Amino acid sequence: VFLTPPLLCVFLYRLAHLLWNVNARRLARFLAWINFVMHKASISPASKIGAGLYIPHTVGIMFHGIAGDHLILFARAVVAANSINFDISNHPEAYPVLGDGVQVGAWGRVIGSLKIGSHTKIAPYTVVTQDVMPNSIVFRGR
Amino acid sequence: MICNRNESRSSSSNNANVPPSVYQTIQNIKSDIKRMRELMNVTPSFPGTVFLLLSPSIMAMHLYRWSFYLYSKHLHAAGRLIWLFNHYLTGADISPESIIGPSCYIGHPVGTVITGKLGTKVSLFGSAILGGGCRDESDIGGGAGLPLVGNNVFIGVNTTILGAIRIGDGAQVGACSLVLEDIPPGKLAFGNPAKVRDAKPIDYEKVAGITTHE
Repeated sequence: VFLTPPLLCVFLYRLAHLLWNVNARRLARFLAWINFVMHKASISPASKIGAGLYIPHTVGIMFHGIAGDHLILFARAVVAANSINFDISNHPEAYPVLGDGVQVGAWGRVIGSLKIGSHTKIAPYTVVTQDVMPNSIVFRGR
Repeated sequence: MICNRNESRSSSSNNANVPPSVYQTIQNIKSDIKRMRELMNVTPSFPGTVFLLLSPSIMAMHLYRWSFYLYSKHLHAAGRLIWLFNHYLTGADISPESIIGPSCYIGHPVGTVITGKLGTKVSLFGSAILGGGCRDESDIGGGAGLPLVGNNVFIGVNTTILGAIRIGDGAQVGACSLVLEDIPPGKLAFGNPAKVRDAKPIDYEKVAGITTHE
């Protein structure tokens, strides 16, 4: 069970984040690189994610930001800033902040400096570039 | 036509109730290779066959067939192990519980996620996602909350098919579309969310410079 990609990916991210917090940043970036090569998921070691992270299909995941507990990233979810030139330690306001219990659907993108409230569900194929209230469902209208 | 698909599917070699034999698994792999050969116009030569066997699309299907065989024989750990190897090697996450009919073609398997039940001669292109199970847990034959895809279905690049939905025989799903509802047989659907339209067959003779066969 521990060898399966959903768990190993999260485990590698946790290890990288631990090393990032004790200022072993080269090693943290190396672990993130291993995570990227193995699972095709680029989760930045600088991002803070709470307990209970679940990534069912790791290929194509991109995460760079701050999230609460019980985050679920479905296949190909992207949570990132508008630009990759910022460092999260220098510009934490450039990255999205997610509350507890957020679900990002398949191909959902959360991009830019914004806040997403707790228990929000983002529908598949939705691009979010604005703040979202808690307990809401975001989807693209017909 | 949707209703009697289960009867027509029962005649094909992959049935949910009957686990496949080794012979059937090998026949399925051969049919995959034959389909790939037809699509790629590869003549059966020795180096061509070696490159075909090493290509990720054949490798993903090959490994999936054996993982499905082992899984249906209740060797779950061995099936999962081959699935894991497949996931790390080709990037395709084809669940050993999913049932895929013979001569399936996966164009570019990186990022492909397949769960559910697929018919014969299905074409999947880059990083198509078939799955779901979170919206509703109803079972229509592919598993709890999983899609059921018919025969001769074309599924385009970056398409996501989610939930317990039926996709009819000969349907086409366009690129970058999100399918959340049933598609009737022989129809074309694309967009976000996908809308059903009438499919027009491509007239290759009208398209200049393209010859399908010599």
